Amino acid sequence: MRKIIVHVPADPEEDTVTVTTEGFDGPACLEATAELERALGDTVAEERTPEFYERQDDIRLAQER
Amino acid sequence: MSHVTRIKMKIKSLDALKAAVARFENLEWREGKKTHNWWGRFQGDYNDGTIRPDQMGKCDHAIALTGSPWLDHADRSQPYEVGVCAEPDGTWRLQLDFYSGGRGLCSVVGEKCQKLKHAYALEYAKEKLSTQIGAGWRVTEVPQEDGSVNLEVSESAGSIAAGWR
Repeated sequence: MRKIIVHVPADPEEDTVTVTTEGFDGPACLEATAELERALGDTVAEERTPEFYERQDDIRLAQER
Repeated sequence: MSHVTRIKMKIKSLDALKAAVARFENLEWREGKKTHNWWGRFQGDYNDGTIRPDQMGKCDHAIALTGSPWLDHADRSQPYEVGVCAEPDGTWRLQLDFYSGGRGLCSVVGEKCQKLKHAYALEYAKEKLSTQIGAGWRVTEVPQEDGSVNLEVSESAGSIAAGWR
């Protein structure tokens, strides 16, 4: 199941929130949250997790078969 | 998990700020109030440089403890108020005098308004999510043990996700 989590800390350090995605295939997660992230404010850091690349590899391998 | 993005927020929506105030039983919004209660005179002590002394105590709206008097002049014996001030870039700044706990205000909103900002961040994120998610998605507010909150947006079980608008 695809999921997006907006984490709001109890004591927002420098007024920041964190957006995390789960279960999306590769770059789809970036597309899903791009508009939301722009609406929320200025991105100060972005990290692509291992799953981002694993799923891309899965898709590429499936296409090669 | 696919990616993690950290975002710095500014106060852009008065509707979300009013909704944040409504989350507190003991706070009220004071529409159009042009001064907020504080010590009343800059003592030359604390100033982080973001507010000129002649701007202190001035605002466009105010947030106050429920039932505290609506004053048009500073009164140190009464609870202070949060000033909501328009910025040139269209955003809003919160300012308050935290001396002496803001006469009871800081225990509610936080010494640097962090409790109020937390509530604003939740309401603003919910406001944005409500305009962006399509049918088949739902938003759930999940409080965490450390006082933080996760807004979880997930595909509803048994429905066909329409994706994002």
